[in-house]
Amino acid sequence: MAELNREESKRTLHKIVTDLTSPIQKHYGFKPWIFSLLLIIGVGLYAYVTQLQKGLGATNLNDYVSWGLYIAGFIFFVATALIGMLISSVLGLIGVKWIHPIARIAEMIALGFALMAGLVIVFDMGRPDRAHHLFLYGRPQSPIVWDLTVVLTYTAISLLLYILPLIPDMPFLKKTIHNRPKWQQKVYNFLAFNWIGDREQYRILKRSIRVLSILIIPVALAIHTVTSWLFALTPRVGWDSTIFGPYYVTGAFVNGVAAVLIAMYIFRQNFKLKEYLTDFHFERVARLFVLMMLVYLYFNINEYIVPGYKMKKGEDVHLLTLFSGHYSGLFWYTQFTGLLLPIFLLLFKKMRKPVPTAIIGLFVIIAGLLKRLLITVPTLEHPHLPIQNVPESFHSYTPNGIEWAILGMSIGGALLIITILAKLFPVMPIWEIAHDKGVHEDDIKNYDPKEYESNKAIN
Amino acid sequence: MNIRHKIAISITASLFFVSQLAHAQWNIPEDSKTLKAPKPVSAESVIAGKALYNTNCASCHGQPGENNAIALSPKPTDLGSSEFQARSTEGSVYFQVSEGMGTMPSFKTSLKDDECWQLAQYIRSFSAEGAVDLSSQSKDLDLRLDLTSKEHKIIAVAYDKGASVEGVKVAFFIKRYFGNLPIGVSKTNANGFAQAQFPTDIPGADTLGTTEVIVKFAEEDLYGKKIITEKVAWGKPFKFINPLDDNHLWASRANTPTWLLLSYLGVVGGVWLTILWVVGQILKIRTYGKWH
Ligand code: HEC
Repeated sequence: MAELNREESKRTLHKIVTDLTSPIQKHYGFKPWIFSLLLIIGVGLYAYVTQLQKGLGATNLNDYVSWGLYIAGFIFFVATALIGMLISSVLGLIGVKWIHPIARIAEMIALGFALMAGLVIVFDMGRPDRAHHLFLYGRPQSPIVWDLTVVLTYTAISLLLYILPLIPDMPFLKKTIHNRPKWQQKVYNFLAFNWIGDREQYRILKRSIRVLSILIIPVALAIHTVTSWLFALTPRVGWDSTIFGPYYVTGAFVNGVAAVLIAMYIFRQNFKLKEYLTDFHFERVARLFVLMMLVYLYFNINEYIVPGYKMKKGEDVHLLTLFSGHYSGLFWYTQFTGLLLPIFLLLFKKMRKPVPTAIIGLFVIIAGLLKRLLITVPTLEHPHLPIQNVPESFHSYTPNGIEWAILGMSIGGALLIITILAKLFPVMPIWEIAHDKGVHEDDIKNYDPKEYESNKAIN
Repeated sequence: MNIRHKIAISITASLFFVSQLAHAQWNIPEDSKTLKAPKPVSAESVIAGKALYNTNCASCHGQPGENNAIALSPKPTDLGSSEFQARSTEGSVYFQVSEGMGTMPSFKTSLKDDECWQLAQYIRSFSAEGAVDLSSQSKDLDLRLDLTSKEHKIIAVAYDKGASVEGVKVAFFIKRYFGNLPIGVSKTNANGFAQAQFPTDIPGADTLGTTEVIVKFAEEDLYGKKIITEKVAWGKPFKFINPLDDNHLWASRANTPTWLLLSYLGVVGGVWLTILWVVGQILKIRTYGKWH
């Protein structure tokens, strides 16, 4: 970082503060965006009320396929939420600098999706009024209880990892944002925790962040491993796999990086942050993306080729529906658009630019949801005993409108959380960016927008 | 083996193969039908036949006249039915029992010749001409038990109006969950004593090893249906262990395996303590800012 002279330092800081806080004040297309999110959520709520009245019979779930779109959605949400750990913790601890403008975006995604993951589980309950029974009667032997614990823990840590780096930004917000409602000021005041920017406060803050960054790694691995164990701890064909934990975790990273790329693109365009989320950042994240996809591809090869080569009796029915049967279209679609094609395309430098990466990210994330449906459903359609003397509709499963609407509401909910956070707080840590650009510590500590404006007046 | 037997064997053998293709018919030679048992029918022979029937035949045919044969195809005939009796003679039944056909086994290798005749006479006793009056032969005896608690011996005494009776078969059983376990049959001696040894490997019903001994006359038709049961603590003590009562993965939450509970609480507790520590750090930042 180049040392800036006093004048430049102040000027740079003021620019950063203005760039990052102005989207909070005014923001193009905010209203239609919120409106469409609320519409999606409204439709989902209507569907959910119907489901509450009729019970899970309102969905296409049945006695055999009792886990469908909701559970696939749950894995998808947990998977996406895992990105917080990868970006801000793993890369942060290694000391990678280019993650500074991205880390908070990743943390917002983590928070939004982790919160919704918990809700999706409730949507899948036939008797949500008994949700608290999980705590009252849950058995510590059950992976479901582990999952519950770990989802709550991960959400708590993600929340802290979001809030902690926010603290030094609060004085900037207090000083610059005046035209917003009173409660918003109060939130800033509260979250400032009397921040004055002393060395001692930085020391405590950075130490806390470091401890949490380390802690979140095993917790994040646990959350997705336990999610995979909901499946792998049963002896069912297609789930009975020893690599399910890492298979899920790597799949989650692919999903999460895709989500981050899309979010980066949207913030770059809509929040006018081209100077902060540069081509360089997209290029770096795209490389990370390829690496993650290669690892996930490796796990896919193991997960399908090992049993596929043996074609054990009983497993063959399941594998063949994926490779060449009923689900083959979907299966190969997810493998091609979710892994092979993106890996190939991103080998070219031209493709590692903002627009192409965002589009590729979109395809990958859609494939990610479908892939999780493929992990959940076909296994349930192939129970160990033949399906006999049951209604025709029990033989197969496709989610119905109610299920899609409720899943849509969950995705809408996650996006709403992210939107609200982005509307309340800067999407990048002002203090860290300023520090990276060589702004003097004293200037960060004693920032005063009026002073700059009066300076400008004198000049 | 005489020539008649040889013919009969070849006939049954060929019948057996035919029966694999279609439901075969009994082919009873005319001279077999008129054949008579070497010993004329008597109460003893009918009672002996009945005992043989109950061990060898009742499992398929059920009790004669009660139409309770097991579901086989073809269905084993109710041997007490008038339809069957009308077309049978002592000789024809003897032939059918000793030769068999299809599912109906041949008994001439597993039973002695006079036993086959006893069976035939018992079965024919359900017809008018074969009927035998058993009451003349039978008399109700009394039975008494003596238990030697040291050697675990069961001693039964059969007596008639105070006088012990010799040569009466007494059957000994132990009551089990799904029926009575026979442990022996023995004849009373000159003093009217019959005895059986209680086995050493019988599990009891409880921690004391309580079991129930049952003693009755082996030939109830002759000596009456007297049954004596007695509880003895001679079995092996038995303690029922409910697999759900121990700490297992599949047990209730109160029975979580200790290692699992400790790991779970340890990990979760450690993580949450750290989270609380961080919250404490935030408060520290807050108080610091307040005083500076
Ligand atoms: C495995 C079962 C089984 C056992 C054991 C068995 N039977 Fe039969 N028995 C049959 C069947 C089945 C038939 C009918 C055969 C047919 O009609 O094709 C039959 C037929 C007979 C018949 C001829 C009935 C008729 O309608 O002409 C006699 C008599 C007979 N059994 C006697 C006996 C006696 C006595 C014993 C015991 C020593 C005995 N069975 C044991 C199955 C059995």
